[in-house]
Amino acid sequence: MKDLKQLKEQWAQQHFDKQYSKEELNGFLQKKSTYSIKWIFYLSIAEFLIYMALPLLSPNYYESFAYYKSLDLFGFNIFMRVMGYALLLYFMWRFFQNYRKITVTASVKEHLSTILSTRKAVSQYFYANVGLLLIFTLVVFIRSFQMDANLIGLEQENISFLMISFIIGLVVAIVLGIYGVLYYFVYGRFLKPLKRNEKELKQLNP
Amino acid sequence: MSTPNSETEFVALLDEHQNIIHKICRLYTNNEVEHEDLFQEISIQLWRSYGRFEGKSKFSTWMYRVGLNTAITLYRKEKKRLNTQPLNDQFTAIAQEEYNAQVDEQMAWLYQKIKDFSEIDKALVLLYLEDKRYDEIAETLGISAGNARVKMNRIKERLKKMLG
Repeated sequence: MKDLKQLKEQWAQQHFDKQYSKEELNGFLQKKSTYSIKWIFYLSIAEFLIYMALPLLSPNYYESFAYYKSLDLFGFNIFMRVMGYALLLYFMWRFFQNYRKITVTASVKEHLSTILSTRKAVSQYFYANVGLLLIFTLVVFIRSFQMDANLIGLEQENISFLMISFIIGLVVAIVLGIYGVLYYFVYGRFLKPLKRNEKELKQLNP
Repeated sequence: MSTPNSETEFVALLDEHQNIIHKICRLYTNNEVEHEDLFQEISIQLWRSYGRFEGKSKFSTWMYRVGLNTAITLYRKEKKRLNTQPLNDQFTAIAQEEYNAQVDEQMAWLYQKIKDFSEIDKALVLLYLEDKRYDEIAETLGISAGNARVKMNRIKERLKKMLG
């Protein structure tokens, strides 16, 4: 191959074995897309609905309120729950913004930016949830040792504070682990194809 | 968006320009299965956004944009390399009587050479070889015309070097 001009000419001359018929092309249009970002928004709606339905799904939901009240944490409990809803609503709004913006007809740069913004929002959502869960658990845990007669009783029965802390820490770690795995499977499935776009976006920026 | 009429019209356009999609697929995939998968995905994305196609640009120009976006961002199959046969065995041109073995060979060589280019560089190669104007390249990629010119010059240099 001698030069670029010749390369261009040959490029224009290339043919492809595979030529789909109109029937085949028509069939493609009916197939399912692997479009990821819209699913992230739908998932957040599903999550919100499950969150809203929790009091109905769990018969003992309100019993925990009485326990928090006994620890003088009723207000804190309500505050954290409201924060949980606010967080979810805020991220739903962000997912919706991306959902609205995402379109394959945008320029490659705009498209890459929206995809990266979605990835960022999903990971921030995960960390914000974990943070909220940790703060809540920590506060309830400390207060329980100060005010819960059963726990104070355990201490008196020579079960060390360290041992109880370890067990509770382990339970929290397992809960967080399950949350992480669920998150990975549910959202990760849709995020996987969106990886590695950052490098490409950087390449487009002068 | 879609009426039976517009579907027929769209399929006719898709049929007419299907080689554009084949070129994108050959650039961004490693085997026949992936090629077909990506072809389908691009067709679906084109059809879904067809209602928003206002005809301001040529249908083919609009296809590059949708096709490249789909290939670069949405279509991310793990590189399984199901079939390690060279691409020229699978997608070569044998359809016509004046079958040009040399073109076929050179194209197989070219696709092989640019396989390791970044996703954006592959897009630039495609737009360059398709003889697109700087303003069209800029619009497709979402960069300034000046930046498109700079990037295109770099790609030309890289191709020249490759040709030796």
